[in-house]
Amino acid sequence: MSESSTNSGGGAPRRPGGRLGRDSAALLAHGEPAVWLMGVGLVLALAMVLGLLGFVFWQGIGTLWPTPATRVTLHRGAVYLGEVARDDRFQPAEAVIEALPPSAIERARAELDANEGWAHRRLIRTGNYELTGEHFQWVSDFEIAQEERPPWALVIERLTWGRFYGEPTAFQLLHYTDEFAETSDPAERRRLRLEHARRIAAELGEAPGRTIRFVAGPRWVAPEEVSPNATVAAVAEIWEGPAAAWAQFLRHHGAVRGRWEERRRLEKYDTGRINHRKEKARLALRRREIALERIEMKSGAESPAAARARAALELARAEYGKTDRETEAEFLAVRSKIADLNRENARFRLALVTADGRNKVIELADIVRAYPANQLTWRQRLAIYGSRWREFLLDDPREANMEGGVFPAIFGTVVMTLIMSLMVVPFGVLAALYLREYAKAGPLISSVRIAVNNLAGVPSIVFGVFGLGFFSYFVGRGIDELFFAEKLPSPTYGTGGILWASLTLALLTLPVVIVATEEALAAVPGSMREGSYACGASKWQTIRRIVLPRAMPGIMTGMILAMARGAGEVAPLMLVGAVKLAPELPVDGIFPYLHPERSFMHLGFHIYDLGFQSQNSEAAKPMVFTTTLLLIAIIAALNITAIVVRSRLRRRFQTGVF
Amino acid sequence: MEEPSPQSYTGRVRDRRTRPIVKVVDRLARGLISFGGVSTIVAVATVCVFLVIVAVPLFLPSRIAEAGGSRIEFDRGGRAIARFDVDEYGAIGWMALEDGSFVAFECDSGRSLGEPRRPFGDAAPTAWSFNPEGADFCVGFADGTVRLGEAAVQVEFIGENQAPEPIRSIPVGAREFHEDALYFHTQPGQFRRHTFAVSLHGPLEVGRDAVRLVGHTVRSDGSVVAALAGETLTINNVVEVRNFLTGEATPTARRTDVPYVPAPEHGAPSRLLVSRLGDQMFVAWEDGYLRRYDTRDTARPSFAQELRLTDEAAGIRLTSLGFLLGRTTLISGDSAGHLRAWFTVADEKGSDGLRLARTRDFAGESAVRAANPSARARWLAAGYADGRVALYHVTSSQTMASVRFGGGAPVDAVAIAARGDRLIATAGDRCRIWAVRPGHPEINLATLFRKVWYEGFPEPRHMWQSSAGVDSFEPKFGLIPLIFSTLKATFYSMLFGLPIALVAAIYTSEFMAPRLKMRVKPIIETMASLPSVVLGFLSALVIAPWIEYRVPRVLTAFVAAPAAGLAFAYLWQLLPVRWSLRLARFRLPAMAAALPVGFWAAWKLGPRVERALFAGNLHRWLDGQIGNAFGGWFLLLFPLCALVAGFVVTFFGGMFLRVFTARWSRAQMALADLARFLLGAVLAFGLTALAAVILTGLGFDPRGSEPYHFLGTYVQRNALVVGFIMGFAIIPIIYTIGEDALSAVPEHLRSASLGAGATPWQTAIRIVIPTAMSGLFSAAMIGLGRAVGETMIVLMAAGNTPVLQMNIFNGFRTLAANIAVELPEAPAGGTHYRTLFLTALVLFAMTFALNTAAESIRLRFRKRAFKL
Repeated sequence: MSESSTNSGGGAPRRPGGRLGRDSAALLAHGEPAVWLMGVGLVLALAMVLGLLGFVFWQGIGTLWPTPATRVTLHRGAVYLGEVARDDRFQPAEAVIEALPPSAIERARAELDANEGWAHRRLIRTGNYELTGEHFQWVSDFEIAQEERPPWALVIERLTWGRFYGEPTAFQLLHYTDEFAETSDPAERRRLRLEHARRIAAELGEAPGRTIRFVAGPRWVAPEEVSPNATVAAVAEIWEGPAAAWAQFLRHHGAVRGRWEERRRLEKYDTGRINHRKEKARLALRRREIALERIEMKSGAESPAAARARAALELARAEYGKTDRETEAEFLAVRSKIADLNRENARFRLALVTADGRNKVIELADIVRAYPANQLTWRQRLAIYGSRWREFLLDDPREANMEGGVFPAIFGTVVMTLIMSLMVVPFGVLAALYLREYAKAGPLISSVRIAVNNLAGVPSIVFGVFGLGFFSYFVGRGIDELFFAEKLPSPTYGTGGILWASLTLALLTLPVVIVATEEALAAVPGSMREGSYACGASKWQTIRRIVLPRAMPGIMTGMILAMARGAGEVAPLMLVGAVKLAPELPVDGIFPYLHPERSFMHLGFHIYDLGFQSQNSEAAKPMVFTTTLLLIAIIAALNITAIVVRSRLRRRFQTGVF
Repeated sequence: MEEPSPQSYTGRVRDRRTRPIVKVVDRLARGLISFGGVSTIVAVATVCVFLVIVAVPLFLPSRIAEAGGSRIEFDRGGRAIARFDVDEYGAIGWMALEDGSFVAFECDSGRSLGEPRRPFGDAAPTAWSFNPEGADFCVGFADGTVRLGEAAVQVEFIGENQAPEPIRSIPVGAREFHEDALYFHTQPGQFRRHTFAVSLHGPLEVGRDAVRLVGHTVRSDGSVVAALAGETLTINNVVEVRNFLTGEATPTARRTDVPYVPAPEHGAPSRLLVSRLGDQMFVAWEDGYLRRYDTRDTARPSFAQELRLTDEAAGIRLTSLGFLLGRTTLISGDSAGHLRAWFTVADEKGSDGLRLARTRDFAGESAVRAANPSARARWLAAGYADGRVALYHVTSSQTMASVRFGGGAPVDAVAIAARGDRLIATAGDRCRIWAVRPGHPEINLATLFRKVWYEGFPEPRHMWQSSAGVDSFEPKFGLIPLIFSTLKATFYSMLFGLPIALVAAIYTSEFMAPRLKMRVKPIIETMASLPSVVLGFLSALVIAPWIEYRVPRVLTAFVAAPAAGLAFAYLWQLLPVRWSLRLARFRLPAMAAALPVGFWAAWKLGPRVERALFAGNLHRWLDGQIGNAFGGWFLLLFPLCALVAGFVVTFFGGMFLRVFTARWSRAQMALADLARFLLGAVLAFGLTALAAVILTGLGFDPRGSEPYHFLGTYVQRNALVVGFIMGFAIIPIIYTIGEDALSAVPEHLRSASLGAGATPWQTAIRIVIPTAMSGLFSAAMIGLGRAVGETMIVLMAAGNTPVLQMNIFNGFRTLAANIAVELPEAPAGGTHYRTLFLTALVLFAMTFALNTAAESIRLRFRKRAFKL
């Protein structure tokens, strides 16, 4: 090449046969196809990342949006009402087609021919599990005889049995007649109740669109038809027709839910408090018993120490008896309050008819949310969407975690991550300071450094195994025997708990913090240290005043990255304390407020459990996607914070170097 | 510096001493930081140390030591022992003697527990059968009757008020006899009572002659009793009928004669055994000749097999025959000192489809005199004529420990306490008791890593099966399926992830504009912090069901996507120089467009590929129901053949092009290059088809369930799905480290290369990649380490069946997933628990070694790059 170019005197190639003119060789030298393959690889990687994030985002954001309810009537006569969950294509068996009526067969064949043998089908969430035993139903397009969106199709989210789909037929409001327990004669009691019922009916008076019935046993009869021998337990106001029933529902649902909330509060907090007090007294008693046993074993049953212990035990027994009586009384009071609330709530009921014509009466207290899915305006949809998100973020789960919220999981994740950071940061920084500032550099220290680095690559499950064996079984059981002997054999610290989970994750994320801190320390220019020493500062003064402040953003980055890693890690948690459903939060209002021995719920484990362990994974799917979105959002937020902090750090160095 | 320093400008007196507090604080800080730092590092090291501490006891040998007060005299007046046993705690031993008496005694003192029982009165039994893992026994008498019964030491825990008066005052930890019972004060207010009881059921006639041998088993639906009376062998189904008025139970039997021919050339028949389920019956003669009868249908017993339990040499006699735990495995002992384990395995040639096979052989120096199994584990004690008592674990074929009776007296009987912590043996009038610490005899390196012949399997095999619902189930701890699965998952995920990550890193580092690079890199890095549980859930619930019926399309896409990229590249080359320079900024978007085109082509071609290669239905084809091996070989060999074709075309084609195209224009050259690509494609397909036809013609089929079969039955959660999603999970880490390594190559090397006239491609391939090779290699190693230890993805998407199959369409269970599944249920300190810790240690060691290697390579690379 050089030869020819000197010959031609530079510039453009002149000689057509010369080497310089080899445009063609240059083409090969560019390796275009290989570069393209690489480019396609990169694009594929990018597409997968973005596609995955987009998919999760789309699925997570969309699941809580209220969709219309569809009623389909099939050729074979079945009727389904529900929301379309997803759709799919499949290859139907010939027998399925042949079972159709003749007119439908033709259309089905035409559809199949147009799509190379594939047919479209939809998965309809039909709910009404207690009536049908199914949550979902596949419906192929060619099976459908008629499809519509009935205006009064209600979607009802319930506390039990999952969703209900149906049309309201009536709203029932009961007025109880008094018990009249003072009369012992049953006939007299019957008469008094009937009289009371008549009084109530008279007070209610006449209203358009409303009928009044007397509830006598299983039969509801008109006031004038009631037989004098029937015991009238209540008077029922009945609003017939969907519109009237719906209006009444809207009128009463808020108050009923309010009472339900109060009942739940009573059950959860008041009962919990009473139980806690009782348990405390029982443990005090048990402690005395153990003390007595120990003394008897050591110095014999006849020794004075044993006599003293016995007396103390008697005192404790008396104390326990007193507490037992008091708590029993309190308990009865709370129970009667709960019973009153339940009785009051049982007055309000909604009667519905399902798509296949079955009747069902649902108590309003059992209804979390209901809406006529096909009549909603955008604003109403948005309101339902918002209320669902609120429930999701702030409420407890129900229906085996498949409905309701994930608040305990969010709370558990946050508390665990915080405890973990409290553990990992001081120790990580200490270790990094030692490695970078104090230890004499040598082969030992550099091998320690490599080892610490490599620990970041050790599988997280190994840390889980260590956490279970060392923290829970070894340390935890030791603590139990020393301090919680009265609770044995049920373990306190000797099993998985939030403290052990945090410690395990702290070990797991320690390398992240050490490496990040070391890098930050190394990034502090030597000139600054030397300047500090030159001013007469001691080593510690230099570290405290000069090095650490400079390195702080780096340390923060390390901490945030550690938090992000810790929050997303699930495998070790499965072994050391994350559970499907924790009855109590690790932090609450009962002394000592923070309960590090309790097991906890975790968003990542929630995803695993719902997606993998759940009985009905199809119904759990929406919940999993939303939880996934939430977890990714939390971790992305942490990571972005780390990136922002890192860029701030860089900027500071750019301006700060002198 | 006592006197004030010279005047300063400010007039202030400066103290030039360091204040003591500063020194103290400095020293304190040094101490604290050093201590904190070192202890943090030590804490980290504890992880490894603790795993070792928990796992090591698995390999410690069993120990056997003399227990205190363990030599007792017990005179049985020269009567032979029919049964020798000890209770669960090793506190009470008892024996049944040939004259029909039962005696129980305390092991530590030799004091007898009440008078000898004589449940049969004066009638001395002529034959005995005992269940080694339960209380039931069966005896035969001279009048042709047999009786079932129970004999055992009963252990009960009782409260203080149930205990008899004199016992209540004994101190905690002491023991006391009271009215034929032994009491232990276990803890304040709680006592343990040991009593010995023999009970007997009504007699049952099995023949007219004296019963010579008897064997029995008690099933939930009644008992099966086999008896040899005179020369008639019968099998009896015994059901107890309870009289409602008297409450008395009378046994009734359905008797069936077994075809039996005497064999006097082997001596007299000496043993008769019935397996636990009553489906097998064994009759053994004095010289070790054994007949096996199939009694699965007790109404139609049939002769199944005959064989010798002993070597065929003269004078060797069968000295002991019994069952191991589960009463399926036979243990035979002979006068030549061999202790052998036998069980039936499936065999098509056997008349009942089974064959009794010798699976273990423990050779001893003198005649076996007695053997007795543990009631809870698969080990047994054996006593020899030279006074030796040895413990053997059958499954792991190891001798656990052995001791010798003082004086070398021939051992008459041995027994192991059910808890496995005491061993008792008797020789003549003497009894000795040893404390045993069996440890974990079922585990050794051979059972963990080599094939083991488990009960009921036709041959030794690798197996992991840690628990099952049945009591007599034997846990199988072979690590090979788990390690194999781990490697399988790693292999498939690296196969997918590694090339994509590396090419993406090279492209980003070498061919991308710096501004774009700053945006692209963080996007891929984001993936690194995506929780793996999310990927696992997506793969299990979204991707796996989606792929299930689109496998041909997905497989086609692996070929079509790169092919589309290449095709686009060759089309791009056809553009005139001016155009391609002008459009250079659209090159990446064009690449992005190639991908959907490739996928679209795969989507369209998938069903055709399925018809052509897999007879139109991949799932049925994989099951081996339809089609031939051609498609499978085509699928497997295509990548290899494509590589070969690519090499041939690039190397020879390149040579040809360089030599003969000197005067060609660029457009001609581009066309030639396109032709070369097409030729390469044809060559790849042709080669594959040829190889596939040859292999199919030779009769090889890649489908099947052996470990070396690469294809087999389709399972929804399989290695393809895991390879895809886990490959995806390791892309970010390989990409990041690889890209860093490429960026660390000094800029002046690139500049020099480009300045010398090399194209960016030549610079990348000849200069940058070779320089960064070790860095790229370490990136791959770290990715490998990540894949080995990944838990959540394989746990959710791999189906968790510990099978040993290379089949890409089957599930598997990796070490990490296995720990996650089983550790929460494993009782702390047990064999299972420790084995799981061992697997964690194996994982730790694997990843630590990988990472250390990668790290040291990376450091060396960095040093070298620095030098450049």
